Formats: sequence, C-alpha cells, structure tokens
Amino acid sequence: MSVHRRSIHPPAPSSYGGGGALVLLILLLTTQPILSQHLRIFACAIGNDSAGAFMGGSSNGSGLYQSDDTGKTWKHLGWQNIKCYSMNMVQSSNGRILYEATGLGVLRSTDYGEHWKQITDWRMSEVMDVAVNQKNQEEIYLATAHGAWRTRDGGRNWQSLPVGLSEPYTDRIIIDSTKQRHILLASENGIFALTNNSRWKHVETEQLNLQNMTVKRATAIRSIVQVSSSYWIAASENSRVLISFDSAKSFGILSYGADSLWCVAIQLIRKGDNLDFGGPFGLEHQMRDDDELMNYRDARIPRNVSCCIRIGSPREWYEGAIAGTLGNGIYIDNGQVLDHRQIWTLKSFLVTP
Amino acid sequence: MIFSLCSAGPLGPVRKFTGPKGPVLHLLFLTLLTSSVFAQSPSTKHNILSRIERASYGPTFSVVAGKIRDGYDLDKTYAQLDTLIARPYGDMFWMYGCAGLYFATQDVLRPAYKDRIRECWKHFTPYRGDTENHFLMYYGSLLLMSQVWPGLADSEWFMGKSSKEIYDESKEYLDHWIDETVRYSQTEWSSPRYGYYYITPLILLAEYTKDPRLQHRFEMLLEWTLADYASDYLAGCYCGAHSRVSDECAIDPRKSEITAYGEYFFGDTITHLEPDVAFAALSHFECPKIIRQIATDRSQPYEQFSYKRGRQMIRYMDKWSQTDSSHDSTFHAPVYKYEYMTKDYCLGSMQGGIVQPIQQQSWSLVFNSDKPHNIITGLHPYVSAEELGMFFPEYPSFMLERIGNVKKGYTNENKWVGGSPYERIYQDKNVLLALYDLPDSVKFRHVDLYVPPIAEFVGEVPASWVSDGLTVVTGNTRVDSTPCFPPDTTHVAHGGMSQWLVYRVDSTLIGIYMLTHFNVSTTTEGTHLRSIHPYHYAKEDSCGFVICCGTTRDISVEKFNQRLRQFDIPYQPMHGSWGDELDKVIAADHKVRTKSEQLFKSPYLESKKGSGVLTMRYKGEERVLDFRE
Repeated sequence: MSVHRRSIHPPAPSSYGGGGALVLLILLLTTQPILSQHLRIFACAIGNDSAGAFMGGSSNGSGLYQSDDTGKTWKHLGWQNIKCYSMNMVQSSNGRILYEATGLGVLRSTDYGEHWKQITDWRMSEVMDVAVNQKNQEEIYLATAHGAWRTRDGGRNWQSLPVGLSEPYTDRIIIDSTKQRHILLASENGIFALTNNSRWKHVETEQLNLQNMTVKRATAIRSIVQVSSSYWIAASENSRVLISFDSAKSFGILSYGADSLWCVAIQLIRKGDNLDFGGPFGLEHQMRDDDELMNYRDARIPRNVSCCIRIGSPREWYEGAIAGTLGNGIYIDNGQVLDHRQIWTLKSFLVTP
Repeated sequence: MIFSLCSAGPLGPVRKFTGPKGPVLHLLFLTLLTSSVFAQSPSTKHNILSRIERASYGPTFSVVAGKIRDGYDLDKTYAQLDTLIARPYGDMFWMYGCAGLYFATQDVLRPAYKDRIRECWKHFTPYRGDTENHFLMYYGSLLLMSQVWPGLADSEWFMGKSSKEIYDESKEYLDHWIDETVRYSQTEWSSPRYGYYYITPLILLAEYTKDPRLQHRFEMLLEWTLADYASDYLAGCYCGAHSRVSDECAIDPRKSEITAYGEYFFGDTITHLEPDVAFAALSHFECPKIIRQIATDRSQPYEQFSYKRGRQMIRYMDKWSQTDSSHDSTFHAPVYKYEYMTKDYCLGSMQGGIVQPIQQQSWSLVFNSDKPHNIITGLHPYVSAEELGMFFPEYPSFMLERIGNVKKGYTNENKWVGGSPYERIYQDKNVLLALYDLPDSVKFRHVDLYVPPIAEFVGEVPASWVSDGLTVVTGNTRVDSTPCFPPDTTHVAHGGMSQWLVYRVDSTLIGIYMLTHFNVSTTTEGTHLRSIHPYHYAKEDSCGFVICCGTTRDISVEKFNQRLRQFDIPYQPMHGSWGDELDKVIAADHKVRTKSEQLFKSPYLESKKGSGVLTMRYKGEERVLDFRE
C-alpha cells in the first residue's frame, strides 16, 4: 500500500455554503459503511472472463450476482446471459422489489430476485442505469446508451427524453432523495438536470484553472452520489472528483488527488470529505488528517476499478472494501480476488437490507 | 393488387397467394413482371440438402432441420438436437435457428422435442444483442414462436410477457425496421458477412409468418435485400464498400458467408456452401428472374449510386467524419455509396470517414476472376478508443485495452479492414482518389494498399510531371523503384512517387499511383504497398493513392499507359488543385455523392429516399416493390 500526502487544501464543506453542523450530522447519518450482518449485496456483471464477453458479444453466466455473506460467496440470480449494468430497488420493500438495468432493457422482480419480468420494449436498449422515484414507484427513469427515458405508469408507457442532450449516450441517472422532481443525468458531456418542461439543462461544472487560465468543463461523468440534500459528489473520467454543496446546482472540480485524472467509481465513506474512488489506476482512499489531505492507494487491487462499496468498520477504512473492476474480477477485504470468473467485468453494486 | 409472385414451389405444390382482405389491401405489392420467375431448381435444393447432411458441420439447427426433413440418420440427428437445446444458453443466433428448425420440421418433429423446445423458450434467457442484425433475429424469432403458442400467459415466456405482448412488440419492431430500411436503408449495409444473417431470418419470416400482410412485407424485403446485393454482384463477389466485412474476406471476397446465397439465388448452383442455405432449400421462396438478371448481366458497364446509413453513434458526434459535419437527429451518419461495374471489374467506394466500427471497408476493386484474392483495397489502419466509444456503450478506454481479445486484428497496423476519420475518397467511374490527412496524434501514420498475387506486374509508367521536368515543392526525389518481385519470396523495397505501377488481372489493367514514397513487400499473400512517413509530398501531412482501371477489351496496354501519363498528379498548393484530371474526378464525385434524394440510382434500381418504393428494371421490364401503406 502506498501513501501519498497532498498539500493542496480543498475548501472545507462549509465554505461551499453547505450548512455546517447540519451537514455533518446528515453525513454521519447517510454515509455509514455497510455493516456486515443483515445485508445482501448485488453485483452487476457485464461479462465473464471469456474473450468474447465484451462489446457486442454475449457471455453466458453474466448478469446479476448476490451475496449474503458480505461478499465472500456469490450466487447467480435471474437471467443467465445478459449484460447487467446497474440496479435499483424500492427501498420500502426491504429488497423485495428490484430493478435491473440491462442490455435488453429493464427487468423487474417483485420476489427478491427469484423471477424477473422485462418492463421495457424494443425501443430501449443498453440501459446503463435505472432510478425509481421512492415517493412514487410508478415513476422510473432510465439512462441508456441511446438516451434517457421515463415512465409514469410503472413501465406500461415510456417517454423518450432527448431534448437538451447533444448526443445519446447517458451513463447514470439519479433522483434527488429529498426533492423527487430533481433528476440528474450523467453523460459523456457532463451533468444535466431535468427541467419542468422535460428538457435537460447543463449543470455547471466549469472551473477556472489558475495555472493556464483556462476554463474546463467536466466530461465523461461516470457516477453521481447524493450525500445529503445539498451535498453531492460525482466521478468523471476526465476531471476526476466533482463536489457540489448547493444541491447539485453546480459542481466544483477537485483537481488534487490521484495521479490519474480518471475517476470512475466514487463513494463517501464517513463524515468529512473522506472518499473512496476508483478508476484505471485502481482503488484509492482519500482522507483528511490534521487539515491535510492524504491519499492511500490500495496496491493490492489492480487497475480499472469501476465500483466499490464498504462493508467494514467505519474507522478502519482499509478493511472491508469490495471493489469491482472492468475486466479484472471482483476483490474483497484484503485484496484477494474472488475465485469467480463469471463476475469479471462489473459496473456497479447494490446493497439491500 | 397482385399477389401472384410465386408459381411452382420446387418442393411442394403450386402455391398461390391470395390477397389479404380488408384494410391490408392498402398494401400495394405491384409487380409488372409476373410471368417470368426464376426458380431455384429442385435438383439444386436436393443437392444442397444432400451435401449439408454429409458435411462435417457441428450441431447446427439448419443442418439438423434438413436431416430431420429428409429422415437422415435420425438417431444421430436427434442427438445433435439434444445438444442444441440442452444448455440454458442462447442468443439471437440460437433463437432464429431454433425457430427455423421448429417450423421447417413441424409436421415430422417428434412431439417430445416440441415440448422440450417449448421449455427452452420458457426458461432460456437469450441475449438480444445490440446490432440491427441481432434485432432482426431476436424479434423475427419471437414473432414466429409466439405464433406457435399464441395464448400463453406471461409466466410461460422467459422475459415474462404473454404471447400476445410478444407478438405485438415483435410485429411493431419488424414493421418499424422494414419502414426504416426501405426508406433510409439499413445501417449494416452491403455486408458480405451479415447479409447472410439478414437473408436467413427473412427467408424464415417470408415462409412461416401467418399474417398475410406481414408475410408479404417480409417477402418483399427479401427481394429488396437480394436486389440490393444483386446490383453489386460480380461473379460470386459482393463489390464496393461494405459496412462490415471480416478480416479474411476483406482480401478474399468470395469467402464471405453471403456468397452461398449469391450462388444459390442468382446462379441456381452452389460451391460455397453455408449451413443456413438448408433453410432456403426447405422454403418455397424463389428469386425473381429480374433480380438474377441484374446480378449476372454485365454486358454493359453501369454506375450505381446508393444512399446508406451508418450505425447509430452514441458519443463523439463531432468526430465521426471529416467529410460532413452534419448528422440527422437519429445520429446515423449518411453514407454515399457509388460503384462502377463492368464485365471485368467493379470499382466501388463510399466517401470515407467512419460510419461503422472496426469492420468497415471503404472501397474496393473486385475482379471478375475465379481465382482467390481477386481484389485490390486499401486503408489507413486507424485505431482509437474514440472509434469504439462512438458505437459501443462500454467505457472507451477500457474497450481499447481489451479489444485485442475480441477483434484481434483491430490494433494491428497491417489490418485490411476499418475506416478512418482522416480518409476522403473520390471516384469517377474507373478512377479513384483516396486522400489521408494524418495528424501526429494517430497511432499509425501510413496508408496501405493490397495487391493480390493474381495481379501480374506489367511495369512502370513515369508520371507526366517527371517527363515534363516539372518540380513539385519538396521531396520529389525518386527513390530506387523495383516493385516487381516473384510472388514466392518476401522483399521490401522502396518505391518512388514519380511513377504509376501498372498491374493486370486477366483483362483488367490497373494503374496505381502512390502520392508519397512507399515501401513494397511481396509475399505469397500478395503485394503490400505502404506509404513512407514523413511524406515528401507537396501537400503537407497528406498521403494517399490514385487507382485507375481499364480493360484490354477497350484499350491496349500502350494506350492505357498513355492515359495514365495524362494525369497531372502533384498537388499544386499555389492553385489549390490536383490538376485537371483529378479535379474532374473530385467534381464528378461531388456531383454523384450529393444525390442525397436518391436511395438507389442506377439503370437497374431506382428509389427515392423516403418513398418506400423500389423499382427494378431490366431491358424494358420492371418490377416494383411498394411498401407504402
């Protein structure tokens, strides 16, 4: 494991106008790591380790995997031959109602994943992400490689939402947990917010680079995480970590951190601005120590980290992480690669009660 | 309304279509040529099935279907079927084969196997795929199988939809796809490989769809697809530019899968056998005579323009092509395809740029020869994460890292397939100019030309500006030029940019002019011409070549050489031109490729873009496919 001390000090959360003590309280409540008991973890596998399980190719055994022992063992669930990009669930159902975003659309299970029904049609393909409105479960949003979609009747009718996007590819979609009318979309061209008239509007991510006096816009957004009503973080393959303290009205680009500018996966793990983030470089942890940011790279976890979750003690950050990679398998705890060649290329995790 | 297309079915009784009643009568399938139909002969069908039965294919639904139909070695044949339906594995290729077998053998298939196939469609979860051919196979198969079991509840199908829901969705997609295709073309256009995977499902759909309206639409689309293929067909080869071609077939066109259908439908014979032709041999469909005539009559040279669409782009719109920065709202790049077809060769191209990932072939010169490798082609071997990211949803950098495991040739600088965003192609009949402005950032800064072993090297012809004592701006010093080597050895030599290389394939004469200095390497595989960087050339950072063809039927070798010498090749930056000859080519190309209102324009095929009507013509006869409703 390598440790990098960074001397660059990003603004403290409160300096973004985030709400001081209230924010810290919310952070404490919302960013607890996953405790090992009573949890079910789902891993979304795009492909197995066969050479053709990639791009247009299919791979038998890809799809959804479930672990009930904090990642030590996994079993396949549902469709055998499908690219599973991500999941969502109806939180009030305690893991009974699940949604799977896949290459052939969205699947829904109402029995904890035992049976699945396709709720989309031929128009929706390569669904990268699905977001369910937790206050109105009939309303579901999709981010697909061919654009964004919405249903307001549980999947019986779907409406394309193309206006405002300059190109089709979208990667992540998230509904504000505190304001369900606030929908954010991650795309190759930045972050977009849905307006009342169903148009997408660019969310400000520009930042002045003082070194060369250029303005930069974050692109290739790979992840958006809501920490609290006002505090959001995002991962960008071109601009690394983005932070918002104004309810995602704008994001600032944090230009410190890992050697690579690429960031694909991100999670905030406890109070403050401690982060896990993954990317082509592997998995890195960033924490504040005596008002100084330090980065720890977990050298045991290889390249192309695409998703990560935390299952251990909040104080022992370096234990209890599960990292999924693109093309290098799945890693748990001490960097051990799980001997499961089917879960080889992952896009995301989901944890349910 | 005339539905009298088919007459005697070679394997069955005379089949006469009766027109559907009611509103579907609006479907106009007008044929002005009803009397002359070319049938695939019973003997050919029998021969195909007999050969397929004895061939050493692995378990394949079409082969198994043929064997069951014929009652051939049934114990072993059913054992093969056991293998095909045993594993809970499948994708759309599995689906169409399974559907085809079920229908082709439905009157003789053992009932226990029907039950097992039913279980497959309940429990298997096949991959739908992400391309146009995948969707045709997927929804075509579902349409047919939901006909077999029409009243089942959603719990009886793998995706949790009822038979009615499946049928309605499949029909909606297939109707949509037909409408798009006949008005704006396929996105996987002119594919020597995937054409096979369009024709086979269409044969099945045209044969087994119950709804008369839909069935006729499939039959018309099958004709439409064959007519498109026929107009680019020369002696068993699919000519011109291609959206998707395999590495091997890019320099050996007759090996393509679709050749089997070309031989079968256009020649009523088959030498290049592929297993799915069994489905064709078990069907009633007959290729209309006019399509066969279009495919085989090369007595007069002709030009053909056709409009195609690129694969839908999902990222990096601004980089899809340097030739046209506009795109339509569906993000399909326009493709302007043009061929000059003669008795001896076909020179064909699209405008350059990238419209399909990895497997695009932007131009080719195909010879009417029964020998292998009867083609000349060339490219800039472009490799980038952006090309992959334009079309595939995975993260671009990740795809580039792993593509070598899937498409081994993609990152190879010696590959013979693939487009380049830095490529521009101009063509006027028998002359083609390909230009490549390659920035420093590209991985490979050279362009390559493939010349096959069957091309006999005739000699060199100095370019006109050399003999005239003209001097281009920089670097025009001629390097030792010895490009002719026996084909059984490997040599590398340097070619100068001051001469035409003249080759001959049977009656066809070919002049090749490299716009930069180049390397020549010759092996038993053919001759490889490669531009040398840095380019000593008047137009900075450009390289490319000129191809000029002629035939000894029309012109002697001496006159052909004189013709080559007339080209005023070097780019003249002071005038911003290539000289009269190539400027004419560029102007003519522009005129042809901007006929964007046409879907097809040739003596044989005509269709206005968006019309949904294709007219075939041959010696005063017409056949019209009208998809309007």
